[in-house]
Amino acid sequence: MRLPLLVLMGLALASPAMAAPDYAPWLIKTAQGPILNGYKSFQSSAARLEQSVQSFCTAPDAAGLDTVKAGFVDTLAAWQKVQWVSYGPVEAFHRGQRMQFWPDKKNAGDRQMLALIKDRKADALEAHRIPFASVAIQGLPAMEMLLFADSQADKVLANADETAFRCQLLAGISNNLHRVGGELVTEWEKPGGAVDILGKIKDGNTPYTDDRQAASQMFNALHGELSAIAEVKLSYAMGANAEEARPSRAESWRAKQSAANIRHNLESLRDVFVGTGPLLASLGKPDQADKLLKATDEALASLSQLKAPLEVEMTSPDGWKRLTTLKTKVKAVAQILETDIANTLELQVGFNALDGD
Amino acid sequence: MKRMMMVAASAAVLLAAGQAGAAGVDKKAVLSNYADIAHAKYEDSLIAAKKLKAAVDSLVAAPSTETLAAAKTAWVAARVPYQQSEAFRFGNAAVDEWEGKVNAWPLDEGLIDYVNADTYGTESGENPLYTANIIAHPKLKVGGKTVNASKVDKKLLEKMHEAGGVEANVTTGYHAIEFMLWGQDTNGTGPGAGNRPASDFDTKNCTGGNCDRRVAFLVSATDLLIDDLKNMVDGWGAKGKIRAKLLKGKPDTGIATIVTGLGSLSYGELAGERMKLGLMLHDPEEEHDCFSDNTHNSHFYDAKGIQNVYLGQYTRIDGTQVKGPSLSDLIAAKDATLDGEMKAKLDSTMSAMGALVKTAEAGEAYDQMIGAENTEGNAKVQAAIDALVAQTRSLEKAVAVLALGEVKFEGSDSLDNPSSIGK
Repeated sequence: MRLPLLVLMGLALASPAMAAPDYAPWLIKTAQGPILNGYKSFQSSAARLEQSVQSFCTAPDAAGLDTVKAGFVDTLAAWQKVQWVSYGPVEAFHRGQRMQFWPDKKNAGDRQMLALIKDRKADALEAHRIPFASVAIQGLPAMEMLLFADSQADKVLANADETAFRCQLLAGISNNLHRVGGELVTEWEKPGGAVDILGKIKDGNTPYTDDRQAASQMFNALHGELSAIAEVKLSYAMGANAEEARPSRAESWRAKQSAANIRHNLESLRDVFVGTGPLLASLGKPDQADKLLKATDEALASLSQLKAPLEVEMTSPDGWKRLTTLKTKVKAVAQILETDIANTLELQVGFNALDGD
Repeated sequence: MKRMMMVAASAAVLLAAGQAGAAGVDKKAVLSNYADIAHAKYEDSLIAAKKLKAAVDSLVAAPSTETLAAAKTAWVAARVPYQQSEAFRFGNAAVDEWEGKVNAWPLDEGLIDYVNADTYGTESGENPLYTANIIAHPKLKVGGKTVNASKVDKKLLEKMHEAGGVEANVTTGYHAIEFMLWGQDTNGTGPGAGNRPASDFDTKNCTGGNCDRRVAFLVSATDLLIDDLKNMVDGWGAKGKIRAKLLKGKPDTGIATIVTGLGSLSYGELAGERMKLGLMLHDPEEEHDCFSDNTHNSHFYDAKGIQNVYLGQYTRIDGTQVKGPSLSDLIAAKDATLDGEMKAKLDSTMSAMGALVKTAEAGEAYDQMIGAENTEGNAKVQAAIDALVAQTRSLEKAVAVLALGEVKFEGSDSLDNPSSIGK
């Protein structure tokens, strides 16, 4: 692992005169609060979504389909609130990618879904098979395609055969979302689960060397989400200017939820930042918590300035400018984490997530 | 959007190493031997590419099942030295910049030629030129502008490479040539590679349409490959710029370059982008040599290249050896146990890769191994991924032992960040 090495470096560089940060309360509170609550909310949204699919498929009509679509949007929103959590149980069994394989730069999801639809292979999404299927056909983007794509949305209610077939697919995916959501909750809250582990790192026998390593992991996940918002959710889709903008690269372009996603991301980070206040205060820097929250609120405010869905905004010069402002504000939050907060917490951004390509 | 992971030695180790010196192994000599091996691998790649060109010339002069098969054999042989050279790609910026011209992958082959719409589809949100079909169209629209494609030559191929800023628009290099020779693999994760008929190159009894343009495409792409490889051979030659940059810099910077190359190829590129992602998607398009079903060899020789750069010992295609002071010697001088561990890990990787080759040669191609519900095949691929990750971990320890400071390895979304997002 790269982290132990970074940790060593952090220790060596830390001034011996400084009081060592006590990360444990921060780690535990974040796990018990934003993380566990976030997964519970995802699980219950997915359960309602599954239920709405069952109701719709028993008596298919337009109103029922609208309920399914609304349930999808809720479930997507709940996922966005925990998207930043890149470690822990979500890493096992590809759970994260199975819930949302994105960005899909090679179009694997569309390609695989079209093939599956063409071959009428609904059985690939049956409960005992779906965990072994491609990650790109078993999560939120696949369901979004079925419900919102121009070429697919009308087919859900086209005729009895189509409805029956689409219902099999929707049932398979919504069941999978619900089930994996349940696994995530269980794996975090069960005795000896992820919450427990974070609470007893000092006792040894955990995958972590010490609290600092776990804190570094969480800190990098938070920073990584901000980078992803700026670089992938915004820059990658926006291109060099409004003419070259590519709305279909936006995260949830078909359901027009890409801006809402960013709102949920920023709000979930804000929750964690609020919980960072006591730790910063204990280290003599209560003002840094305020600074971080203020910057986050400014990013949220610039999101409220958007005049149309993000997918539309990026194609007009004015909208493109508003998105650029948003991106700048998001980067400013990342910057505070990288400098002030990293310094105070004696942590560092271990790698630049977007170096390379 | 690949992530980088950084390996940093602790300050304590850095301080201790300042006095320790290189314990009898001359870092410059290690770098010089590294450059010699690079030169030999690119020269071998060039020799093999010229043989490929001869076979392509025979094919287009007299298209037949035999001449097509001979060209395919020459392509497969050409991949052997080239894949071993990939250990030089990351770390050496000049190689990494150049690499996209010769080994870009994956490609949207519909840009180049006819495809089967049933398996390929007809459009992509990512690529407006998804089915542009250069071979069938003397005029092309790229980003609202018309491109005159009436003459299929090296210039046109270079112009259309990454057209519209889309990386999947690949018109040059090994994989464009591979698609020309094999055609689209329409078998999914079932058995079988691409199956282009030789008559696709027969201007008298043409199948697939526009055989003259297809011939021109194949010949131009092969000529370009030779040109590009020549540049790389020169770069690593006695007076080459890449060699000079490496040898004139600080020795530790050069050693860090070697380690970066080995770690990045092991981890982010091979274990992550080329193997893990395909396994998660169970997708034949995620196969590195997807038209020819040669992926097992492609991965095997990548790993072989990592091993022989570490050991400082490369067997050329004519059987002669290039050999000298190595990274292995440097590490052994500081920590013989770690060198032993590294060698053992490299051996384990080679045996896991060997298992993939053996499976493929017994008739189950790599795209079948990564198929959904092929538990046994998936496990074999996972074992090779695990071995590559394990050797990267040992390499990280080497960074600390050699006190190289900060070294960045190419990371991978699919390995580092399973929670979905491209960070």
